[in-house]
Amino acid sequence: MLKIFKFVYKYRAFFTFLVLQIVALVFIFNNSIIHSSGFFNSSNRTIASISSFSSAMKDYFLLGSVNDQLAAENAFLREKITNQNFQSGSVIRLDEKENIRFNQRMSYRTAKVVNNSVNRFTNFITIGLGSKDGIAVGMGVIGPDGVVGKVKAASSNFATVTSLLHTDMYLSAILENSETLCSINWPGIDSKYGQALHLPKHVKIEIGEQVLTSGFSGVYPRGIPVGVVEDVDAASESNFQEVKIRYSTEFRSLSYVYVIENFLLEERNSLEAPIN
Amino acid sequence: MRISNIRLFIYFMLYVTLEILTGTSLVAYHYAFGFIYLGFLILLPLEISVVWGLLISFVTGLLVDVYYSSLGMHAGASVLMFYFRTQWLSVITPRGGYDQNALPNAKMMGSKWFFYYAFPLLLVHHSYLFFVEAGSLALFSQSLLKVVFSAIFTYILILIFQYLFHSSYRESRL
Repeated sequence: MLKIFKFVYKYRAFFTFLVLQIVALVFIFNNSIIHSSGFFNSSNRTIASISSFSSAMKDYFLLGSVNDQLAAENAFLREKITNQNFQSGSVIRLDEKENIRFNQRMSYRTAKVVNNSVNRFTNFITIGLGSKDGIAVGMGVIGPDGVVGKVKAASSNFATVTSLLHTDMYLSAILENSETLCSINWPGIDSKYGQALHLPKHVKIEIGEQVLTSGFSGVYPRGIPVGVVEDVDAASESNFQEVKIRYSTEFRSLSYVYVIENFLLEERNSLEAPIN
Repeated sequence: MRISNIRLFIYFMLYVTLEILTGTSLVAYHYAFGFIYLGFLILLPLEISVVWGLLISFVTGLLVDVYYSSLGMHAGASVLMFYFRTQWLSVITPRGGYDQNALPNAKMMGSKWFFYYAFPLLLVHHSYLFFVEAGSLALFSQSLLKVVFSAIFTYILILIFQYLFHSSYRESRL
């Protein structure tokens, strides 16, 4: 026994190295540790407050462009409301809140981006809303221009969002013209471009065509822009076309996002669960 | 001894805070990433015991991991880098050995020695980091480019910051 201790002590440096390395590898390959708590990821309170300080300083310089973005979005939404009123034949007044709540299927919460990365293979965004504000794991996140990602973990005041720029993230989408279903994935280098997978060769795809969310997962509403078709290569040997898309969202300069809550998701999942 | 421990702790706070404040913006052309906190680990005093060094590397890496939401990657890479450092230091020992209380920086050891010392360490760290992050060899060439360019970028940053932070070495020279 003493010999074993002496042996371990003699090579203590190596054994310390071995133990720490094994702990690190367990952390890396056991994703559930990150998922389960708000402690071991960027929604950690201390880390997130330092990040928000740094992003507050950056925000000051971005004020102009954020204003423009919000104004443009406001104009777009006003237009949409007007159109909807024409379609439904009656004007929805603001005092009909009860009516709106009854018909409301999704809610949007505005959140500030506290921390953001675009250059790794697996990118995450930290936002300044947490479980205290009703954020839950699995909610969809969109920006003013299009889809951004999905909530991965939430602490009480902050939440970590898996960005579309994550090589393991697959988003269900449709092409605008043909409504063909495809899957959007990020190949890993340039934050501007992604790829659309599983598009059969007979489908006609135009360059410049919009790619929109399908709404099938229930995480995002149908028709939120994802990107625009940039390049199509039908000559590849596989059964599918290789389609390159340019993301609608400018991930580098993201400052505000909307978190979507789908009130009917639970009901829908409970209906679909027995089938699956 | 005590004063040097306090100084070590101050450097630790300084480098980790700096990493968290600037981390995600220190990127050039999609491929070069700067990790300032490595400056702290690389400039740890030579006489520090291996076990302590490994523990310090692990804790530093873990804090940075929490910031990047990449639990374990920086910790594992930093621990590997420090273990490699102990071996590497005995390989590149200058003639006559190291002076007592010597610090492994460019000012005391010369810029040529510092390059031979620091650059391979950065390559080891970044190889671990980027290949584990890629998760497979599918992105081999991209990862390799990231490793090389990031090592160069981080090396330049460390060189700049050691002249900014570690300006007076009068105490340790005595």
